Amino acid sequence: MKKISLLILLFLAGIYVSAQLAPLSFGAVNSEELGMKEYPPDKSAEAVVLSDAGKSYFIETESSFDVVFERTTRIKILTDAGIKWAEVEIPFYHEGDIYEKVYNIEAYTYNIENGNIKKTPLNVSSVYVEKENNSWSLSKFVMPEVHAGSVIEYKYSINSQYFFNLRSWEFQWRIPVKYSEYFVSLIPFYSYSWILQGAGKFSSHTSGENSSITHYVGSTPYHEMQEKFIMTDMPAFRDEEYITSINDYIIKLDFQLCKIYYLNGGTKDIITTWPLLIDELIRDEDFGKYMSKSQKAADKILNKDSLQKKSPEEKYEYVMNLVKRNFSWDKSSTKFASKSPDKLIKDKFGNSADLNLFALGLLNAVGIEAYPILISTRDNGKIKYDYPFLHFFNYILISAKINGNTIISDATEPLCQNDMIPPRCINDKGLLICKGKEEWVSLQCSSLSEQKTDFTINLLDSGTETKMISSLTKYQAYLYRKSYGSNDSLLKASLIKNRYKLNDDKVEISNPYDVNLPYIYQCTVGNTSEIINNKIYISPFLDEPMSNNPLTQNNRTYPIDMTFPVRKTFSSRIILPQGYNVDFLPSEDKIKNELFELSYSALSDGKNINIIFTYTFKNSIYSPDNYSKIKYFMGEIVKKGNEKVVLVKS
Amino acid sequence: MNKIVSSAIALLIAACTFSLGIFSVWPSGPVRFAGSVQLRDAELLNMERNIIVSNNKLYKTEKVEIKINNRAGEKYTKISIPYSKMVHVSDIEAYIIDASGVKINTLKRSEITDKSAISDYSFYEDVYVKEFTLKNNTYPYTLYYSYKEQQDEFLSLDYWQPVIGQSIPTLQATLTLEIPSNYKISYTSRFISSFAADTSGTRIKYTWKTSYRDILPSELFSPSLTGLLPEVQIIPLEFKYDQPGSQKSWIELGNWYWKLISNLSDLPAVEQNKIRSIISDTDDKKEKIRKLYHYLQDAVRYVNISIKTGGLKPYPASYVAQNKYGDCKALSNYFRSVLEAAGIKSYYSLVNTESPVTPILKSFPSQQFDHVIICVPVGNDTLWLDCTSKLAFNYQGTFIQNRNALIIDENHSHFSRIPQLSPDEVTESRRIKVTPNNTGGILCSINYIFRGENYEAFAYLMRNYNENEKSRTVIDALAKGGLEVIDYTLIDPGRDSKEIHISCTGKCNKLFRQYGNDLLISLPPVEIPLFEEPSVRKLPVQIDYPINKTDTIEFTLPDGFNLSSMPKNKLVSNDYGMYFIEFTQNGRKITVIRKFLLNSGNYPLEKYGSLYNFIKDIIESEKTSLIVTSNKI
Repeated sequence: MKKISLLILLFLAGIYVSAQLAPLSFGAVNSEELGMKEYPPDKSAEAVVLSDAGKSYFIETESSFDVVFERTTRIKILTDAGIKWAEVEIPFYHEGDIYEKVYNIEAYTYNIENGNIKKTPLNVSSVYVEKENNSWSLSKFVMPEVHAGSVIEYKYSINSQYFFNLRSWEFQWRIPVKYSEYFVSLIPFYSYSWILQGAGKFSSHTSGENSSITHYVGSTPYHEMQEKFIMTDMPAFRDEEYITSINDYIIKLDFQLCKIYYLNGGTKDIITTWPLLIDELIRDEDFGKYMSKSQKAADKILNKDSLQKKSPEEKYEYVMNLVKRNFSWDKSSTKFASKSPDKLIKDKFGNSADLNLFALGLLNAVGIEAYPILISTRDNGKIKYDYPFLHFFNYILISAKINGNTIISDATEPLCQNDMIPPRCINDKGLLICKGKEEWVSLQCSSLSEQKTDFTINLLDSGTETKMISSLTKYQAYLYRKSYGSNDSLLKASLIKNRYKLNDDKVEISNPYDVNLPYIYQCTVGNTSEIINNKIYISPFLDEPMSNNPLTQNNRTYPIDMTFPVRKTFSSRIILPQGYNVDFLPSEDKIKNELFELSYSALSDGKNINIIFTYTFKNSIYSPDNYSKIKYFMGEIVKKGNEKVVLVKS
Repeated sequence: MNKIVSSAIALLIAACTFSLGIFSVWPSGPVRFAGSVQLRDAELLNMERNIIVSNNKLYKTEKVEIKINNRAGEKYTKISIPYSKMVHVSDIEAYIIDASGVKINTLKRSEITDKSAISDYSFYEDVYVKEFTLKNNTYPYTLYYSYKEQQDEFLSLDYWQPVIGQSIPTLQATLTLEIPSNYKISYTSRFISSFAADTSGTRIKYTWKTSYRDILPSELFSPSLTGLLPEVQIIPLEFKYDQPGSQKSWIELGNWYWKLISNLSDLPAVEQNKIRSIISDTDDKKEKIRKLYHYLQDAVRYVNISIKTGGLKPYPASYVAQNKYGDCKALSNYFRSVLEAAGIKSYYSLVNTESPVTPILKSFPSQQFDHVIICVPVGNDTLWLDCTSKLAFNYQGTFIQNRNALIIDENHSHFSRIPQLSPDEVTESRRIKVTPNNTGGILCSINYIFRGENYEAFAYLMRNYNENEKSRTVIDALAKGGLEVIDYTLIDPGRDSKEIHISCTGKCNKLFRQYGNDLLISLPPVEIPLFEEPSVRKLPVQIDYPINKTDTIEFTLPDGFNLSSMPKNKLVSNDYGMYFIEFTQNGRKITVIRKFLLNSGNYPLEKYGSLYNFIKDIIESEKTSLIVTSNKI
């Protein structure tokens, strides 16, 4: 049997014999696989996918077609850490007309026992269904009798009414994959385009019409179009810190429906270009039309007449504040509205599309030109600009034109100014949904977010007393508003981590929620100086500059994404007490290049010592080539930021 | 402060004076006035639970009123009602009322969502929640909701803790229970303001009332919150849950467990033979157990799947023998059967692993446990074996140490104390060599020996992480106090050794600081817990196991520098623990020996000041224990 299928595959794939080129047939686990102790191409692998084969094809139903997805996977468990791969989860979808079904689950664990292969079946009654939310469930099971050395193999099928996106296929896993194949058999009524991410080409890709079998729909004959995509010897995907999303990097294949051919000869373009996708969205009930419905509903919550005399800026501020303060975000990121404007007005909460499309409708209602921007949030991954696929996107922002300027904003985030978007949305570019043109809007933040901290240090009998006042703007302020807001005890707890003793046990916060003003906090910190050999050692900036380099690893393969450019300035004035001289002042320092800047100066005029330390990360993203530079720079910040001033009694 | 806030409001008014209807553009966000009495984000105004037992069925109705004061309080508008195949929920109703008392929004059935509620440690449980949210845009407003619950089989009538969040006060809470006069119950309560029992009719009615107004802070080493909040626990003295049982005494409850686990030792014959062969070459009982424990650790793994009465009844031994996995109950029952096949008697034992340690209410026989282990007496010794653990044989980890275990034995169930981890068993020791190199870098070589909590964490990591995760996690864990890890080696000194060794090299330039002619050398820091100042501390102290750290640090002085003064040695020792530091010079080498021990113990608030002073004194010593050398050139 194995021989025959191999022959057929060789025929399909052309002459190609250098590597494994067929999926392993189900059940044919051999003792070589069971005896395998490590995977030579990656000796640190805890498990390896020996074969992973997927197949999508159509079956005719009474009224239409369903898509069937079948998968067969064989995994070798190499170490204890690999045992987690013996827990299998199969997600499936159900909403409206779509009710996917997982069936034909069959699975076995293979072990060597007394020199023989022992095959233990999965008891199908121990397949459980977990309901994740109203639309997604998981079929899940645990393979029996698994330990380091076992081989597990499972197969299942999913029947689906959803043919808009065929199931995508991930060639790469978090463990190495020896052989991965996706086979799709298409009917001539639906045409799909596909996109491969993370790799330039397949190990093998074949396509052709299967003319050996003729199918009929009614009396119309047709042949299936078959495509087979193969990837071999995929390395494990190893995650790292500070990347946007695994979705951006893993090697996978996505499909989207682009055209429907009707039996009567007519056709319908689903999406072929960005302008067509834009038109589609403008006509969509839960997108473009939702904006017009919101525009009509505007009278219910705002008085347009009273706004007439206001300037565009004032109108814009008014509408954005109205939405931000009266409607809260339910934390779900979506591109389509989920409830009617009237229901939103009643509920006072909604998803990101509800809130932003509603705000867009209101903006239009008061005469402001505003359009949605379709984006993908950071955790959802990057957009592929060459492929007009709607499913890359998961969120909507607002683009408004005020006196010729374009302002981008997000009505879900009351802690951001009305011309800012929250960090979760800062992800490359978004697509402006405006009829008749294709425009990509940069979401990157180019302006600096600053934190300026001033220290005034007095020397008392009890030691130093340091007055600290810190002022934060833009994203720096946003982060403080989000973490602490007006909650002085939380902020205090974060300051006390540095073992400060606060005078009156107090921190004062100004403008906690006035997003157009800087977030300011101030406090007075008790003695932090040390006296050694009659010399006084003073930290000019307390322990406020970072004290350890956050980049601890030795190298890195993905970009370092700081989200937004940052400048921090520390400025300290030490008032010299009578009878003391300066014994040591830290040296000046200056670094300036296209990536970052740092400057440090310390001066004494006999009465005061003034020290200013400032550094800037000019970019929001640094490529991995710059890792060692950034790590070095962080090291310099730690070094200069924590240097001390030494005073001595004259 | 108030001035700043009011001027901010004035600004906002100027910016948007044209609000309409109820859709205000006022700052309805979480604006609070620091300095004045803090308005809580939300308040539980009233919670009422009525329980009726009728025909051995349990009926509950719950009514809740939550006042939302600002946007930060809105997280309490997301209501989750748990249910399962054994707990039926119905008649969910909810609405909100605005500040002027007008009903403005009523929950529709279609707005309730259903989903699984599987805990993090489980693979699957057949428990679900019904969820909904009702909100308004002007504050304050009040959310009312109610629902009914029914149960046919139950071990407990109620575990009532009318608090929805540590920082959210409960103004009023009432629990009532109505039972037939011949229905026997037992109950226990804490922080109850009033209690009444009406026994006049054919049915008995109990009423408990309480509130939670003094918000408990989150403080270091404080006792479990569970013991500090108001609560009522009610159980039936007789019950049927899989088997009929009684909770009149621990012996009777123990007998119910005994029945529950009897007939579950159905180890297949093949498995029995294997067990006999494993121990065939030894006569020593402890050695036999050790071998079988290793077999258990190698053959099976922990997977929690809990359905129906699975919360309490283990899967049979045959299930584990077949699947090679199970939860703590199944694995314990399996191992008990394994020992039985080897002719060794062992006991299924229940513990409460909650951390901080929560004492068992011994006067209230009831299901107070969340974990099962195996107890084996060997001569005068007692072995405590956690069958879900991959750690050393008979290692009594932080999870189970210093707790009472209920030993299940027919007609003889009783409590036995699992010993406490000693300071020696939790020691974290480091041998550190600090050497300046020619280019001004400060090289460190460090040999760590981890026991206790860190042993548990590193052993888990060694077994369960892949190489990539392992290296990242270890480097992050070691990179403390400015250490840049260059390389490290993880050494497991054998499966039963109860410790993990790590040797590491790195750079730590921070330790040497030059100021003019002076060079300041700091000691690699030791982590000392950060206790609150006595003036703000509100809760007593509970330290469940000691913290014990030992460092031997050897500095090599850089060329051209000499030691100008030697810091003083120090020894502090008292009931709370010990701190010791000693400096010695030998040519160009300076050796520092430092020990820090914080004993385990429970301290009332009155003693907090002296504990705090002990710690503060150490922190001060740590700050000043610098070595200063001066340049002679």
